[in-house]
Formats: sequence, structure tokens, C-alpha cells
Amino acid sequence: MIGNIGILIAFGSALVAALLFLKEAKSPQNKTTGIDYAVVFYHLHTLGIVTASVYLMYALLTHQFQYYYVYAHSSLDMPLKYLVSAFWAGQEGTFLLWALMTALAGYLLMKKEKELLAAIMPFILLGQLFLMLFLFLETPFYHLGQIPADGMGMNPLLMDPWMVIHPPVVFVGYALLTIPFAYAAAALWKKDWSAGFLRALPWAGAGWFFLGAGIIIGAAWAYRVLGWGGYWGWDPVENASLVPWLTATALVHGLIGQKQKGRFVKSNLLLAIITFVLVIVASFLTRGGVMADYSVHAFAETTLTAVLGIFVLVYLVPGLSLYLVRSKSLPAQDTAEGLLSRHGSFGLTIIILSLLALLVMLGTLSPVLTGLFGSPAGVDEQFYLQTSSPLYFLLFLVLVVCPLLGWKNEGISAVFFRLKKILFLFPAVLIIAYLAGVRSVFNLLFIGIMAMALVVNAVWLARVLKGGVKFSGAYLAHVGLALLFIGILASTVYTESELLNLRKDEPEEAFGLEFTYLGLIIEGENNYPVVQITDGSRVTIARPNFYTAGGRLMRSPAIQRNFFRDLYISPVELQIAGGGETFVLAKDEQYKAGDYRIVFREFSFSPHADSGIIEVGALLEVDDGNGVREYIPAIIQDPVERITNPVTLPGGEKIILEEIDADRGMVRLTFEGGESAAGGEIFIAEVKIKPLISILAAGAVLLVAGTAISVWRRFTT
Amino acid sequence: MKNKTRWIIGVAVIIVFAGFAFFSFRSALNPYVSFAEAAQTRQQVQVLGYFVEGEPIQYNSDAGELRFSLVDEEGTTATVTYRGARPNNLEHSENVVVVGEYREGVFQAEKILVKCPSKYEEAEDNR
Repeated sequence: MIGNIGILIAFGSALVAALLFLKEAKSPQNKTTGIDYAVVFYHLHTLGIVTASVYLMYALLTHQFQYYYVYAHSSLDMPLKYLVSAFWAGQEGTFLLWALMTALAGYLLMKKEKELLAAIMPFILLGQLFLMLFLFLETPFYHLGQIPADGMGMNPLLMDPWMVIHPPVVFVGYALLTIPFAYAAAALWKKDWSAGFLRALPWAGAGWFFLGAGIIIGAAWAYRVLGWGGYWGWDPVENASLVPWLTATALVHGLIGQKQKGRFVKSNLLLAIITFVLVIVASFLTRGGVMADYSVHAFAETTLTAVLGIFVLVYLVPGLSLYLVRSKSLPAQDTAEGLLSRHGSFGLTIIILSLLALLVMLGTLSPVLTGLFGSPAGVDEQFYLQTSSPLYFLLFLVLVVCPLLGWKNEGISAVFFRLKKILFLFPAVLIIAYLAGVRSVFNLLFIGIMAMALVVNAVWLARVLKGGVKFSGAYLAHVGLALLFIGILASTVYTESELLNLRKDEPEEAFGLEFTYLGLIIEGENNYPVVQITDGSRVTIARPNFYTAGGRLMRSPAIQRNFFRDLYISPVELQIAGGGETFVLAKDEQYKAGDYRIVFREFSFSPHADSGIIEVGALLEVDDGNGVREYIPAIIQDPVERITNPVTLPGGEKIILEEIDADRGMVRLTFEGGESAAGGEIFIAEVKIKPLISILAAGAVLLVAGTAISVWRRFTT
Repeated sequence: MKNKTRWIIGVAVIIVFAGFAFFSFRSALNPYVSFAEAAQTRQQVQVLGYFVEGEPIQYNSDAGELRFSLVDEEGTTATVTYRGARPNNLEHSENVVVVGEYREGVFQAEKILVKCPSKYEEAEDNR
């Protein structure tokens, strides 16, 4: 109840605030009284969202299972951090989180922006209105009408620290990318696209940073937890977040170019609009039902689909119309400086990034696009790799040359002159890569260019660091990008994989290493097959895991990190071969199991009349070659449960009484081989050698750190 | 004049790249089909299938492959084989998409796409 009232208040006050800001923006500049009223309603709007959010969090933490959302995403046994993350475990909660983040970002915006504020706020509140509308349609406070004893809990794969922070980081990015859109729309409206629109730079940068960090966190989670050995699957959901990140990257570069030389105004306005539209498209594709038939992320079709579609149009149509109306009066894209200038390389960067975004979008939408003309078909990852790699190659060429250029055009000889000190690196890297086993000409060239980009940017990084950390962001990010791509190329093209059947205590050779399965360690819900790995001199132990969570058998990989290559061990199967022979015996029949001859003689009942417990045993005579002994495995049946009480033979083997058929005088028994049983256990694992993952990870961290420093700089200067 | 050659080069590059992208797109397409259609083509295809109740996923350690039955939306049942690590959540997915080729009476999957462990999966069924 309280939650829904909060959403209602947030909707109503957002509407009033938007209208008041709009009225203020239309009136002449000199009076500012109206804005105070608008701000009051904005406070009320935020209060409504905060109330709904706090109440949802309270409901989760106190297990209010009468709410469907709480029931569906949490359970009594979940630790606190996962109860908190259950807030964004479903789409209703993520929309609420998105609205909350946008509302809070609005305060920072109101503090920093004065001139265009009244024109900007209506566009932000428009998005909030839509989010509130979604929360009406699919409320997180849906009441079940009864109170279940426990909730359904969370998918065990999501119970990972990285998954706790991944969604909020992405949604902060989404929320912040609303602001450049609103700036673009306000700037077009108020014809303030030089100075006014430029103030969108820190916001675009911040949104870009959070979205990028969120994507990388998601990739890290996939690598560590999912166990298929990769970090990126070109899945629609992943692509949907990559596309706006690519256009946001283009936007940030364009805005920096605009700040320096007043260029790229037209494309920046367009990119700001497109980026946020793509953010909504991303949620439209993934949360709506459009891709439901084609994506394995399988998003159920909901009432949201239509509304999300309208949401896309509401931002796209006015944004583009405003742009088209004003496009005549916008400053023309100046091409006075040629390609060999910083201006030119910024332009190229923007074009390449936009093309990359377009290609990824094309691939993602391929089932929908081909569905228009015939039977739907999806592209596999080959498409993305083939079409993206020449563009990334070009991008790295730009990255090599760009730091060497001034804003004005230069001759090609001047560039070579500046490069000459490190030009020898190119053939050197080619030779090293060739010796390391790289044979493809394209890959060799790619590695050479990336190494050059790495060195050039590292040298410039060292130079600017003397002037303070604050200005090092761009070079740091570019060093990170080069490292990231070296890691991506190596791990994509040169991963080796082998399926190993490891019999207990029998070493197997693979990749020049020796793998020995030592046995299973069971700790609670976890079953760790222990594998010893040795390269002849060093011995390490890997413990992948089969575990049960929520009644599901899950597998988690063991990853051994090394500088040059990761050893990635995905558990596939554990077979207790030789054990678990099940057989049926009638009275006086015998069965040969292992070295034993087992004869069933008779039942042995021992009723405990008062307690309602019945114990049924089977009297067995077991001959191990040295004489006959008697054993009585049993089943104990009490009113609630049934316990089997097995017997252990001298060799450690077990006989379990599974079932009795008193009418026909038969028993079903299982003979489990002990340690000495032939065959033994087999642990089957897929072992992968993934080169340079450490470089990839270091690159990702530097890239994020570099963007963070740049954003910090743009916010403080 | 210089501007004109620049334009020509630019347009030529765009046309070549667009053509390249188009052919890459064409060759990377895996149509979504049924098992019956998959049996008639040697092309790599994708089939959406549901697990057959009571038929477990078997693992053959000698061949190193998974073997299980799927029934597609037309009701055709097919045996699917797959070499490699079993994706998490496989047993608990209602349906999966298998990418591969239909050969010698079995569907040889190169990839199994399992529902993402996304938090959104179960919500709608239970409401």
C-alpha cells in the first residue's frame, strides 16, 4: 500500500514539476520565481520514489512474502547482501532503481546547471513519468492475497558479489545518460548548442564511465561464475548494453573535440539523442517481448512491450524532429583540418565507433530483420568478429597516430619523424608474436599495431603524469584499451580446450601438464573434486565445485591465474564407476559383487510399537572367500521419514537396503564399491588454456580507471 | 579537385565495407528451424527445443559427449549430442536453443544456448 502510494505521488508530482519547469522555460529569462515551485514538486517526486524504494527494501529485509516480488526473488535463508540485491532482481525493481538513480542525479544537476535547467528538467521528468507508468503496470507491490511460508529464493548463479553491484552500476549509467539527451534537446530548443550543450560533457562522461564499468563487471562475473570459459557471448542482452556504450564513447570524444575547437556540434547533438534512445531500446529489447523468441535470455512478453515501444518513440521522434528543425541553423561540420590532425583523428574515432555500434545493432536485430522478409535467422559470433575487427584495426591505427598530432593538420613525414624512435618496435613485436605461434597475417598486423598504440600512449601517459594525475585519464584509458584488446585477441583466437577423463589417481597429460584427480571433498552443499596439476617442477591443486543450491546441481569452475595464461577447469561430470551396483534378491538367492558372494536369507523385523518406528532388516550371508559372515542392512521407517542403515564390509564396501517386498519375499540391494574397487571414480573436466587473461583484466581496470579520472577532471575544472 | 578524389575514395571504402558486412552477415546467419527442416539441410541451423520428461541427460565419458532428447515446437523429437562442458542450468531450463547440424539421425550441437540465469525468467509463469 505505502509503496504504491509512493509511486502515485511520484507520478503526479513529476507531471506537475515537468509542467512548471516547461512554463518557466517558455517565459522570459528575467524572472525565476516559478522555478522554486517546480523544485518543490521535484522534491515531492523524489520523496515518492524514495518512499517506494525504502518500503520495497524493508519488505525484502523483513521477508514480507505476501508481496509477489519478495516471494519470487528472496527466501528466508538468504544472507543480507543478497536480500539487498534482490531489490534489483526483477524488472519491477530495476525500473524503480533506475527512477531512483535518475531522481537523485537530478539534484546534482540542479546544483550545477542554472541557465538551461528549466528547459532540461522536463525531458528528464518525461522519462520518470514513463518509469512510473511501468511501475503502475507491473508494480513491485503486487499482493498475493496470502502469505507463503518462504520465498522462491534467488537463482544461485546470481549469488555472487559481482552480481550484487553489476545491475546498480549499469542503471546509474542509464540514469546519467538521460542528462546529455535532455541537454541536447534543451540546447536545440533554446539554440544554445555551443556553450550550453557543452556542459553536458561531465554528465555524458559519468554515464559512459558507469555503463562501461557495469559491462566489465558483468563480463568478469560471466568468466568467474558461468563456467563456459568466456566473458562475452554476443548475446542480445550484452549487445544491448554495448551499443549505447559505443555511441556514448563517440559522444564523449566529440564533446571533447567541441570543447577544444568548437567542432562536431551537429554529430554531438545527434549522438546524445541516439545514445539515450539506444538505452531505452536496450531495455525495450531485453525487458519487452520483442526478442523473446530469439534470445536465450528469454524475456517473457509482458504488457510492458507496447509501453516500452511508445517510450522509445517518445524520445526518438521529438529528439529527431527538434534536430531536423534546427539542423539548418547548426554550424556546419568543418573539414578544414585534414585527417592528420587531432581534429581529424577525433572525427575518424567518432565515425568508427558509430559504425561499430551500427554493426552490433544489426547483428542483434538480425532475427527481427530477417523475420520481416522470411523465416527468422540469427547471426553467430563470426559476424561480429569479422565485421568489427577491421574497424578496431583502424581504431588502433588512429590511437597510434593521434597523440603525435596537433589540432592542425600535419604532413605524414612529420608523423613518421615523431614515430621513428619506436618504429623499430613494430617488426620486433611481429617477430615475438610469430615465435609465440601467431601465424595469421591479420592477427600479426593487429598485434603489431596494438603494441605500437600501447607504447605511444604509455610514453605520453608518463609525460602527462608529471603534470598531475588529473590530466592522465585519456592516455591511461587508451593504454588500458590496447592491453584489453591484446588480451581479447589472444584469448579469443588462441584458447585451447581439451576434455579430460580423470580416473582417480591416474595422471593424464594435457598442454604439457599432468593432471591427477585425487578424490572428492564434501563440505556441506559443496563437492570439490580435487585435481593435482604439475608441470614437472611445481605442483598446484585445483578445486572446481559441484554444488547444490535451491535443489539444483550447479557447477563452478576452478581458475588458476597466471601471468601468461589462465588454466580454466570446468567440471563436467563425476562418475562413481564400479560403485552403485543395484540388484534384487529373492530368499536364498545369491549375487556376486566384487570379491563377495551375497546371499539373502530372511527378513528381520524389529518393531518399536510405541514410537511408531518400524525397522526392517535383511539378513545377508556374505562370503568374502575366507569365510561367511552375517550382516543386517536395514530400513528405518518412522512417521516422517525413511532412513537406510547400510552395513560396511571388511574391504570398506557398503551394502544398502533400498527396498523390501515382504509379500514376495524379495529385497533390492545396492553394493557400493569401496576404495579398492576396480574402476574407481572418474572426474570429467573440460580444461582450457586461455592466454593473456591477466593482460585483459589489467587493461579493463586501466580503461575504467582512465575514464574515471577523465570524468573527475571534467566535473572539477 | 582534391576534395572530389577524397569523396570518391570515401564512397568506395564505404561501398566495399558495406558489401563485406553484407556477405559476412549472410554467411553468419543460422536460420531458426524445426528438427524436420534441420534434417533436410546440411547448413548450420538453430532449433528451439524442450526437454522430454523422464529422459535424462546422459553423459558418455568415452565419446566425451552429452546426449539428450529434445522435442521442438512442431512436436518432433530428436536426439542431440554435444561435446564439451555442460552449461550450468541445463537440466533446469525448460527449453534450450541448440546450434549445429543434423547428421546421421542425430542433431550434432556445436553450441547449446541455455536460458540466461537472468532473474526475469521464472517470474511470469508463476503469476
